[in-house]
Amino acid sequence: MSLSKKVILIGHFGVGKSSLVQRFVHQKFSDQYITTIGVKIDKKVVQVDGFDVTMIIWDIAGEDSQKKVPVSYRLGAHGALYVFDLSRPSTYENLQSELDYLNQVIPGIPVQILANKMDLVNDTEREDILDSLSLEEVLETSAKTGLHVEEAFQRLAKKMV
Amino acid sequence: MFEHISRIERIKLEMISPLSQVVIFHTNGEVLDTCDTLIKVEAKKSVFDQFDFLKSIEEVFPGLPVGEKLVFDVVEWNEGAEGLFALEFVKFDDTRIQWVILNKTKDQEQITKVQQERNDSAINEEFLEIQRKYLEMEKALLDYKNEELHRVQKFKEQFFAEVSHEMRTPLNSISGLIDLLRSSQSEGSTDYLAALKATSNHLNAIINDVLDLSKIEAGKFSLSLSPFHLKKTIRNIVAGFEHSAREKGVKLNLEIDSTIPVHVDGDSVRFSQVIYNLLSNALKFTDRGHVSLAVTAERSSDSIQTLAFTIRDTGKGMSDRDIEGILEPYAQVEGQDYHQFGGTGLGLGIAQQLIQLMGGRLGIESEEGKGTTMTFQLEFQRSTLEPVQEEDKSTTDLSHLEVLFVEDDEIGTVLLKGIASEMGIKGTFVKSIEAFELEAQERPFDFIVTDVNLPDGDMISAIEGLRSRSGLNQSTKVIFLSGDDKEILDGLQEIENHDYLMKPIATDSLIALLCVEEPQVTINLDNLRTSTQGDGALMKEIIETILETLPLELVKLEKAQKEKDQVLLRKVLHKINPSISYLGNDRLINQRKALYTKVLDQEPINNELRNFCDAVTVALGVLQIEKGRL
Ligand SMILES: Nc1nc2c(ncn2[C@@H]2O[C@H](COP(=O)(O)OP(=O)(O)OP(=O)(O)O)[C@@H](O)[C@H]2O)c(=O)[nH]1
Ligand SMILES: [Mg+2]
Repeated sequence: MSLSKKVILIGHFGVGKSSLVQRFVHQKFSDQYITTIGVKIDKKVVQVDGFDVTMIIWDIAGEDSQKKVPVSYRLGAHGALYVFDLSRPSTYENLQSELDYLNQVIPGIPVQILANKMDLVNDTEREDILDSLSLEEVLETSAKTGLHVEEAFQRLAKKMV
Repeated sequence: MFEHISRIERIKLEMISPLSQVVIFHTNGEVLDTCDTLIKVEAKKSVFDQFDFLKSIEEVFPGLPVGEKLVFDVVEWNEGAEGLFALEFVKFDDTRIQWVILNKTKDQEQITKVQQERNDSAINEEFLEIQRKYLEMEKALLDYKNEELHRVQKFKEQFFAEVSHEMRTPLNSISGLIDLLRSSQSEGSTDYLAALKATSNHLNAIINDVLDLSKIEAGKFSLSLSPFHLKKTIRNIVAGFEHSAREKGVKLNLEIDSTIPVHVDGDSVRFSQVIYNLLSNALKFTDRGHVSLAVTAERSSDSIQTLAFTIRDTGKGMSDRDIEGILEPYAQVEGQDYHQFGGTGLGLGIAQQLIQLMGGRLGIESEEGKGTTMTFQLEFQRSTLEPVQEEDKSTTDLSHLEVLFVEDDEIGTVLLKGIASEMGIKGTFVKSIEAFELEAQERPFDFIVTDVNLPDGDMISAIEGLRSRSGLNQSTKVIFLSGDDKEILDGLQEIENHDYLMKPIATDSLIALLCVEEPQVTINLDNLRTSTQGDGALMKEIIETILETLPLELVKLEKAQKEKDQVLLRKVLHKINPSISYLGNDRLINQRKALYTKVLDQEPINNELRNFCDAVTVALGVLQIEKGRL
């Protein structure tokens, strides 16, 4: 039996959501920034415990607040990847309240937090930032180098099944 | 509402509105109707199987309330059609969903442009903000550094102002004392001289402290390593404080662990300075009770011995803040009065830094009103060598020396006269190059001690002149004195057989130069050459005779002196006259003559004979070399 799951990619604009999808689905990366309009859908089949899981990925245009994202885009989501950009404080400064809000509007679904653009910060900077956020289960990723990208989707798939 | 649209109308709609499409499907997904204007939708089949997008929200439709719209403003479509679409779903009865698709591709450019600009500018702004904050932080750091620099600068200025104030006090007394000396001619002059000496010693100590400190600060300070007698060194320093301790009524204790090594390798001068500074500090602040120094042996290996030093006093003590302050070299315990306690107050700072240079750390524990304990540990290398015995200057007798002093400065002259009289040196004092040249032609000297700059010229050139002419004092050793670093003195390096002392000169250093250095004895065989009319073989024969006989005569002279045999003395002094003349050394010639006259006059001769014999022996050594050259 094949499972189909709606995964939403959310977070501020320019944090690398589309780049993560691009890396995950097409193994490509571009330095150019072309913002996503509305939502762009893509999919990839992953294996979880021997089952095929079709991840239907909704790459939603980034906003500086989740409140600005139309409710319909999140409707029926089975899991979310919340992405922030380690090189831009504004993308993680209000992370906790963003997560609280998500918990209200899409309760009970697994949310994996991704600290993207790992390649742009050094170890101390990254540690400082992550310490200040004091969140569990943040995965450091880089769409540019491919670091932890596969793992990010895989982890979420496992939680959704 | 769409079920009311007739086929005609639908066609019209297709023609006039190719930008939209309507699909009717069952909540279970089955396609009921479609107008395939934009995308191909197969009837009868499930929309969920045809579009992943719908498949992923399949579960939403059964629960969607009747009449409620589900809107997706903009979807980038890539399933069956490329472009930008607006999607709208309405459940118009219990089971059917009407899906309207609007093609917005023609607006894509416009929408994208607006959003891209908004995002780009927000991101740019953020980066600019980050940059600005970073620059701000850098500036703050720079400001802080500047402030710190400024603070240190101010501190140093203040410090130097205080120190120069300190220096002015003894300087004032020095000039006052000189005036007194001038006006009082000679009466009471020895007292004034003593006072002058004490004052200038004090000033000298201040200057040395400041110089030491600035050298340590600049990292230009290096320690020398040579064997020295540890216990003796410590005992001597403590002994030096005994008098002042007794006067104050303070008990001075010294405990030295008997197991500490006798000889160690180290910088004895700097080590002494540490002990001296710490003891003098302890004594300075202690008015009753005791000051003690304990030296104990700690860890030890075959070659290394760690020693612990503890200086304990029952003095006025310090607060923690005082301790912090006192170790900062340019600081003073607040309110400390130089005049009350004397010194620059730099002693502790210097001791601390020296201990650090030697690899230790000074620890201070103190309680106000109770006293202070200072501790430090140093590692010493056990010495395999015996220390070189230093001659005790108080027992050195320099009365055999004749020294020509050239100094125009009055204070300098007073100081040099003081040294000369203290050591019994026969000094001739001149104040100009002209006078110097007259004296130098008049008489042979053992040393010329001279200032570098004189009112009528510079002495380096004058000495070069003297050395270039054959005659009296051609090779007399010169000791230059100057307030300048010797590196900046032109031509000094070219002068052979000289020494150099920086002003203010330390008496000890000058005495050391005068007594450690064996005065050089030169010979001049011109007389002999004339007498033998250049006959080399004859010259050689005569020299051999001198080399054989003169040493025997010297033995006789000493014997005669010991036995007070005036007749023999006179005979031998007379007999050696030709040999001495042939050596061509004016000083020896004059010395012999003077001795002979004294013996004739029945005057006592003491050290002069000893010195004369020593000098002749040296001259014979030179003669031996000269003979080889013939
Ligand atoms: N160095 C680096 N750059 C990245 C990384 N991921 C994304 N980028 C760059 O960041 C910019 C934005 O990436 P996108 O993937 O378009 O960001 P987005 O989150 O989809 O942005 P919106 O669609 O506007 O919400 C692009 O220029 C990417 O090349 C990364 O891991 N490292
Ligand atoms: Mg995007």
